[in-house]
Amino acid sequence: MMLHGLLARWLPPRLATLVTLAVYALLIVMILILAPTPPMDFRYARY
Amino acid sequence: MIYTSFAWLAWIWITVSLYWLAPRSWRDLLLMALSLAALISVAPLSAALLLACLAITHVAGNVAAPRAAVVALGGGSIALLLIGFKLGSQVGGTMLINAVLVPLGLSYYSFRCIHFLIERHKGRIAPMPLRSLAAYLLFLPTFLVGPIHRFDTFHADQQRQRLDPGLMARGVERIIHGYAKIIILGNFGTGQVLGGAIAALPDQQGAAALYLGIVQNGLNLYFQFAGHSDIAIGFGLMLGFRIMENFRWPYLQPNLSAFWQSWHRSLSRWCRDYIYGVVVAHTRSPALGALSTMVIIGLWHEISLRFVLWGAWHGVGLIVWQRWQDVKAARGLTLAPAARAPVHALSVVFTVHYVWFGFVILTAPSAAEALAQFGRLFAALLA
Repeated sequence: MMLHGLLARWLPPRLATLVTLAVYALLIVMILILAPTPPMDFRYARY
Repeated sequence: MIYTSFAWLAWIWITVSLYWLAPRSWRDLLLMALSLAALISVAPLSAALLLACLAITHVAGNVAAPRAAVVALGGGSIALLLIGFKLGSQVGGTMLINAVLVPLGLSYYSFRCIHFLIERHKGRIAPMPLRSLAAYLLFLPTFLVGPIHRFDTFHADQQRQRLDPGLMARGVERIIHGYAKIIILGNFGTGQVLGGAIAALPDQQGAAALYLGIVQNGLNLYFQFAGHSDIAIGFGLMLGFRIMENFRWPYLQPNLSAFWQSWHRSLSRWCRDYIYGVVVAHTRSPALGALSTMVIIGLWHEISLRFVLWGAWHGVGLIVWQRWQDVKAARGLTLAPAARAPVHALSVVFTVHYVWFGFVILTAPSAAEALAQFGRLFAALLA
C-alpha cells in the first residue's frame, strides 16, 4: 500500500502496518460520519 | 448514480467480484455488459450515442490503412455530435435536444474515439477487433468523470489480465483517498468549515469574504475533481487496469505550464498532442498554439463566452510564461542559490492565485460580474 510504503521508510514494518491500518480506519469512520454533508455547487460546466 | 453514493460503492463491489470470478475469456464481455447496464439505467440516450460513436470509430478506424479523409470524416462526425449536444443543451427553444443535458460521459468518450482514430491513422495502433474497441469505450470506471485514458495502455492491461493483490490493495486505498478528498476535505472542510467562516464575516462584500470565497471555490474544485479521479483510478486498479494519473499536486506548481501538466492531465495531454502540436506545426507560433489549445480546453467544458474567456485567461498566462522563458534564455538570467527557494515559493503562490482568480470567470453570473468582483477585491486591498 502507498501509505504503508511511505511509513515503512522510517518506522519498523509492524509499526508501519499498525499506523497504516489505524489511519485508514480513522479515515473510513470520518467518511461515514461526514457522508451526509451536502456538497458545494460543483456542476460548473455542462459535460 | 453519483460516485459518492452507496449504490456506486455496491456497483464497484459487484463488478469487481463478478469480473474476477468469471472465466478469463468472458471478463471483458461481462464488464461491457455491466457498464452498459449501468449506463442504460441512468442515461439511456448516452448509451445509444456511445454505441453510435463506437460504430463510427470501428468503421472509420479499422480499415486496413485509414486514410486522412476517412479519419477526418469519422472524427469530425463525432466532434459535431459533441458540439451539437453542447450547444443544444444551453440554447432555449423547442428542439427535443434541449430537453436534455449533454449525454453522460459524451465529452470523455468522444475524445477517446478521436484519439483512437488519429492514432490508427498514424499507425501507432494496429487494427483492432470490435470487441477490444468496445471494451475500451465501455470501461465503466472512467466512463463518467474520466480520465481520458489512452488505448495503448488500456489494451496492454487488457491482454495482461491477472488478479494482482498489490493492484487490488492500491485500488482500495485510492478509493478511500477519493472519498476522503470529496467528503472530508471538500464537502466538510471546504464547504462547511471554510464556508461557515466566510459566512460569519461581518462584511460579505469585503475583500476578506471575496478572497476567501475565491480560495474556497478553488480548493473545492480540486478536491471534487481529484477525488472523483481517485475513485475512477482505484476502481480501474481493482480490475487490473493502471489508468493514467489525472492530478499531481496542481496547486503546488511554480508556473502555469507546470500547472497544466498536473491538472486534468489526461485532457491537457490530449489537447497538447492533437491541438497544440498541430497548430504549432502549421503556424510555427507557440503563442497561437497555447491560446488556441486553452480556448478549446475551455470549450470542451462548455460552449459559452465564460469558458472562452477562461481559456483565454490561461492562454494569455501561458504566453507570458513562454515569453519570460525566452527573455531568461536570451539574457542568461539565473538565480543565486540562496534566492531559489523563496522565488520558488513566491512562484507557487502567484501561480495558484492566477488559477483561482481564473475560476471567478466561471463562477460569476456574467463576465461583467466577474470584472466587478475583481474590482471590489483589488479596491478593498488597495484601500
